Amino acid sequence: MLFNNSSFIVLEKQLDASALRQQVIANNIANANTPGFKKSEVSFNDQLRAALDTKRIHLQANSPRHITARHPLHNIAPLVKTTEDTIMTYGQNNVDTEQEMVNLAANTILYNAASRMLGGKFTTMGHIIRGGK
Amino acid sequence: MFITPVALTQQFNTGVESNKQGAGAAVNFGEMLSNALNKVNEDQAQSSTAQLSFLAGEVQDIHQVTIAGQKAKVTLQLAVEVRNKMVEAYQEISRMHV
Amino acid sequence: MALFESFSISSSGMTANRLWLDTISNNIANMNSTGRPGDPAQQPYRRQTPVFSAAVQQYLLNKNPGRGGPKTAGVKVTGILHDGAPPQLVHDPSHPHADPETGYVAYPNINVLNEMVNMLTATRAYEANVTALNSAKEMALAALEIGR
Repeated sequence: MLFNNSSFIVLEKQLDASALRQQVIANNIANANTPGFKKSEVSFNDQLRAALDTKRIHLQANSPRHITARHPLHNIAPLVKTTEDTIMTYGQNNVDTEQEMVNLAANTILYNAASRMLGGKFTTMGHIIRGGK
Repeated sequence: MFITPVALTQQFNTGVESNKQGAGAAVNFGEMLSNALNKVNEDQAQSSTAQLSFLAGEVQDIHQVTIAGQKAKVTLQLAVEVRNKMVEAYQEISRMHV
Repeated sequence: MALFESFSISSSGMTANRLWLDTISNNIANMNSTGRPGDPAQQPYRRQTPVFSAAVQQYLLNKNPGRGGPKTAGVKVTGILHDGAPPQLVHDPSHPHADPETGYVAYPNINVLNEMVNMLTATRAYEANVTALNSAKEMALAALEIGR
């Protein structure tokens, strides 16, 4: 009820996706010199955009006896894709370390931003509940 | 001077009545309160579970634990504030001269 | 636990690259460890290279079987390869390892330039892993600050 609005759900999902992306980027960097290794990427924005575009009916439940529908945004999940068709260095490896470092920096900022936004929401909510005291 | 009655109360009343006539699913105040308190309790339990499984090293991220903790905190805060308001209202009524 | 997972992934990358640096120093240190040509008992030092391969973590596979989750978890060194390239033969009859008949000494097949380039690569790769580790740490600390 209190937290079942789209921005809360999206921020939570974004944190999950960013943590996963951090793991995948770390794995790419660790395997930058592994022969035959293929890099992976996490896509989340596309799924989010698609979910925000489809205006599905969202049933609001005020009583536990009402039929509830999960918020459509609950269903979006990050996807890990492996890029197979490029070659960067010898041994069929396709990790571009510079690119990975850029992605890493962007992802860290995204995660920090999302966690700060979420923290701000909680603080605001507490402020409102206490009536500004 | 003519004071126009607040239209919202009327709407509210009719709304409740139609609810009663309709599905017979009118939520009375006590039920609503106990539902809300159950939710508060549920959030607290969820937060504890998240903390425990985080400490046990199961698959959990720190943000999931802190978010669960914050949710529990905010719902509890809300419940406490509602309780305070109710006690205040009760005292207000009990002080009223009949 | 994605963030803690990425800690161990980065540390596996650091370990692997440090091992690579170790073998490089070993190669450079032994670049004059000679041997007698054609004598199996007194072979010259042979260049070592670690073999990197992507580590697969079984429980990650079990956890999200069809969901395309991360299937690898860091890097591991599966072995150290001894270079099979033939040793360099240098004519030096006064050398204790010299072949009594031909006067040739077998020097290891190590190219210092090559080793220096590999050393730079390994150092940079190590640093990249350190950066990844630091950003994961930063993220974990940011997550702790939610609602503060």
